[in-house]
Amino acid sequence: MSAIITAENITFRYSEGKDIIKNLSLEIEEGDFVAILGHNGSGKSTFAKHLNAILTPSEGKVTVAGLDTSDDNNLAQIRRTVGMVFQNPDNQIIATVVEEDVAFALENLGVEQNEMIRRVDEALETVGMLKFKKHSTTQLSGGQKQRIAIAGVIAMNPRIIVLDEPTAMLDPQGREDVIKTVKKLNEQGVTVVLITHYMDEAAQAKRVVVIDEGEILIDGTPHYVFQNAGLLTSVGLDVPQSTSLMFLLRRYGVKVPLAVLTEDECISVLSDILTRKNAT
Amino acid sequence: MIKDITLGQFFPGNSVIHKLDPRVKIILAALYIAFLFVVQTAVGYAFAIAATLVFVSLTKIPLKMYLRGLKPLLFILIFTALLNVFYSTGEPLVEFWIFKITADGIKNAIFMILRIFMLVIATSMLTYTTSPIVLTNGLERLLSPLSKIKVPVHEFSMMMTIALRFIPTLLEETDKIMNAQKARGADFETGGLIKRAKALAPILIPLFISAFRRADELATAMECRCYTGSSEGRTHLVSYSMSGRDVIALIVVICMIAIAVLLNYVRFFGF
Repeated sequence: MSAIITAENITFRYSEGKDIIKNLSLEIEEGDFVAILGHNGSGKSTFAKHLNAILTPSEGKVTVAGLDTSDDNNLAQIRRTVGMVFQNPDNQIIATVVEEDVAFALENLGVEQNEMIRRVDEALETVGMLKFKKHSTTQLSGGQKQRIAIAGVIAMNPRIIVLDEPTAMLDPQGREDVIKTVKKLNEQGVTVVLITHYMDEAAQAKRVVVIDEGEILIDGTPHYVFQNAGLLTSVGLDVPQSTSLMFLLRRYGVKVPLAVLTEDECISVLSDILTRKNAT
Repeated sequence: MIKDITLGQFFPGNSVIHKLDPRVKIILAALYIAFLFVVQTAVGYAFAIAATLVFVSLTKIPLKMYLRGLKPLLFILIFTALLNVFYSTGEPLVEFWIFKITADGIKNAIFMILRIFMLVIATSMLTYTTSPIVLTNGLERLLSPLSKIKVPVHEFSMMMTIALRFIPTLLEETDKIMNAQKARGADFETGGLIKRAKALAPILIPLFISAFRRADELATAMECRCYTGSSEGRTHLVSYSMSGRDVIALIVVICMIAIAVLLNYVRFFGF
């Protein structure tokens, strides 16, 4: 695998403001699923906006699939390579009918009509919204709208999809549906960058990067990152509930592994302990 | 509550008129209006009324709905009728003080009322049977030749599309803000006009701020989906093609105009 996104020593500030991103370097491999974690104001969303040239670094350089984001001539190509999904589903849906919204990017790219119809159906199928094709976009739930927004992006066939807190405004069911869709896309070979402040979402990624004050605090597999519970809480982040349960159990002398991320893992660890206890 | 306001008056349906190409429908509405102005004689009006009723029944939308659209026009209708009755030349039938009523005046008044009735019905028919978004699309395609002389047709239609898309969103937001302000003790229902107008400021200001924020985010999202702002090289998911149905409809309305013109001449020669 090779790096599809490289950020080299990037610094970003709005004119005369303080540095929001400070000398940050990061490489993202093609096909990876990277979660970028950070609390509000950590610079994680600002960083995300650098990945498809909405913002360009004040210093340093970002390249996407070999294209420099600071070069305006690359803009169209970069936008097709990196699909971007935002937080508020209401503010990124353009059309009043589902299929027309999904087709928006394709219309802009001048895709021929039959090809467009095929790709719209395909994208809606991927996000599980095909039966809503002719529906009005205003009557959908938040989670459904967000999946439509994802469909609108993947219809372009991007190699990378960046999601900037896509679940922040959704109910639990909507969150689950969106994360499931994102994982499915990653399995299909799309590189995913998920910006979030939900730990349980980050835990499902292949790699977690924690950003604080515009710098990378810790970077590694979810297991590695969440073992450092102390470090995370010191910057105002939580660990997944199951991890913090393990943390507490350890404090009371129960021998459990620390890096327990999902509920399923947690259940199996706990039932192991309980059966052992019953056996003795 | 505020969400219940109906927007446009589109009645979804499957009638022949609903299925017409929106571009053709817009042209038909214009031709029909022309037709109504060509009609001059009693026979002509009888013909126009019959034709209008046939079209109304073809839409499968009850006549009652069309008549509802006339209510706000009642004052104008009465006013026009009175003007026509009192200010016309010819042999007076009745005369008192400075007023005189002539046979011509009464005839003109009746014709005028019928014409306005049918004008409203014809234009309602367009909006009742075509969704606003399809109407916008149709208008864009119809006017697209004008973009050659730098008329911003695509920009206009994109603005319309986005406006239509955001009306429900902003209404919902207004509702939320109103409730939030009411919870803080705001009073929108009592007091004089000025007091009530002032009470609206705490609704309008947050609404405007939020609308600008939305516009900003939407613009970014559109750019991220490769929107460049020009219609050049753009394709469309939905295409409209004229079918036999559309051609027949056009022929029918053109024939109607021809008949109306003919009927005027019939009168001219004293039949």
